[in-house]
Amino acid sequence: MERNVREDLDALIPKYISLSEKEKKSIISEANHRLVGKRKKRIFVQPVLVTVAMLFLIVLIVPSFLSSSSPFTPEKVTIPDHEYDGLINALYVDSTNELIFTDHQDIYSFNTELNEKSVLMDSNDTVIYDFAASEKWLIWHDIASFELNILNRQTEEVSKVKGISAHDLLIKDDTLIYMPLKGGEAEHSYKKLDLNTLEETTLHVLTGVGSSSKSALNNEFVVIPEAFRNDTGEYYTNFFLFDVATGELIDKFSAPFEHARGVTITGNRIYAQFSNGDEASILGYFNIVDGEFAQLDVPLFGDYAIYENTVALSLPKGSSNTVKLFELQEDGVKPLSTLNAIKERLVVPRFTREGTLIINGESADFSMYLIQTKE
Amino acid sequence: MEKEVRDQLLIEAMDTYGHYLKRVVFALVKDEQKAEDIVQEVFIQYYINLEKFEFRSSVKTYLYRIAINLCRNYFKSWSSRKLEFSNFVQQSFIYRQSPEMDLITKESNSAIGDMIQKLPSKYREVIWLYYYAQFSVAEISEVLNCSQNTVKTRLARGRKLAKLNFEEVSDDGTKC
Repeated sequence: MERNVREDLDALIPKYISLSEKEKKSIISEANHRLVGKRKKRIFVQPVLVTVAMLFLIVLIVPSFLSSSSPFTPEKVTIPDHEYDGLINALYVDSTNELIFTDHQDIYSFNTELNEKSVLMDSNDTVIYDFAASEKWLIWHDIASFELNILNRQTEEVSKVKGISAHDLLIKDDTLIYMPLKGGEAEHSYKKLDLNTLEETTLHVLTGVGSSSKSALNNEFVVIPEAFRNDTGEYYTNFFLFDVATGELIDKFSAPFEHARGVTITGNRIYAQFSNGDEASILGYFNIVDGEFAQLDVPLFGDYAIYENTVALSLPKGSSNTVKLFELQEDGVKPLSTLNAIKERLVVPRFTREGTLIINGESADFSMYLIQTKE
Repeated sequence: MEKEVRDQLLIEAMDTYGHYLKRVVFALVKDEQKAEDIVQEVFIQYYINLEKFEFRSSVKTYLYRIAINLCRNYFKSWSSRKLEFSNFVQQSFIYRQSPEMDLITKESNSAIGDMIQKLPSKYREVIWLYYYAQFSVAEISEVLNCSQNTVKTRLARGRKLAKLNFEEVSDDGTKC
């Protein structure tokens, strides 16, 4: 039996994945180089330490002079006894002050006002990666049973859509927008599901070659990004803008980029982190009103999140990175000091539709930070 | 330690363990470039720390322990999460030529692969280490720095979730 499992597992990996002779030579060369470098470093350790310390002080002091004072105050939230893996996917429901997260088996709520944790859903056999929540609904896809589960949190009734794989879940009032994958289907599409009646309508049939981002929602529109490839082999990305209430296609915007990551819709603009191949990313947007494309003048960044005029950027810090906050000014940004006092590395910035920024910290207790950017 | 001796030990380790180590790392991270980077770093760490390596554990256990830690660091990074989503979308309707796509497609086409691919990483780790890298429960506990009971529990739960419906007997004769 064991032999069969090993063969099954081996068949999952392409045969050419192996450690080639070329790689071995490269490893020997790099290992020699690193060992020599390590030995040399010991000789110069004191001057290097002094330089690093001075640079560190400059990095700490200079931004505090350059940054504007911040109108926002971060709220630190520590959820005990939960792993980073679950907290990093936590979402926030503004109306109930809840952080909702999953350890891939159960789903929890943490009330940030009362500092109380509760279990919203517990099960022995579920495996959860995709979930969404609002004050009224909790929706999760269980990949062990291939079921979409819909819990009405007010009535505690659970409905199920069976035999599907459901992804990119977005809740707007009593509507779910999502991408179901069903066995035997020739085409894939985004659907609208009435959460009260489970009546489903097709919103958008996918015809492109893929996407580098999930869809995005504001209080009126949903935007679905798709990459395409033209006859000459060049990639471009289209953004399909739909009215959530009517399901009507409002507009389509096209950008000459293969990748559009972190698609966000806020303040009449569709933002994304655009790139082609290995090129550095730019932060750009389409104006929904006139269809014009513009690029924001921002520092080199890894990840971003934006809500109206507040931008969170993940910026290099030493050999790592951390999140800093900025105010949008025309097509540039001005630094805010909001996060300057936080020592640990900050990651995965994301905004709620009500303008609350959620950031995970990498301190020992994995505390998170909430920043309300809108009254 | 003389350079020639050091180089020879590295070559022996790469020849003996490199092939399967790279395949296991690829199975866990599902990205060829990242797997290459991780395996390179594993062997460099081994090379640099040869003097400290006291052969209390086997070379194989030592290499896999570094590899698992590097994989876990990678999973904590946001870039891996982007790749996860990107791979999922590609699974549905994108680029069919990449090795990552081959892996996902093959996994999707096989019942066992589909389930294993979707397991939380702590279960996938023990399944790949036990069935593919052929470590014992005791060795896995050393690689993962956890108790043998934890390994057995993860194996049992991983098998259940992946619908591998049978029992194995471990080195010490107990079912795991």
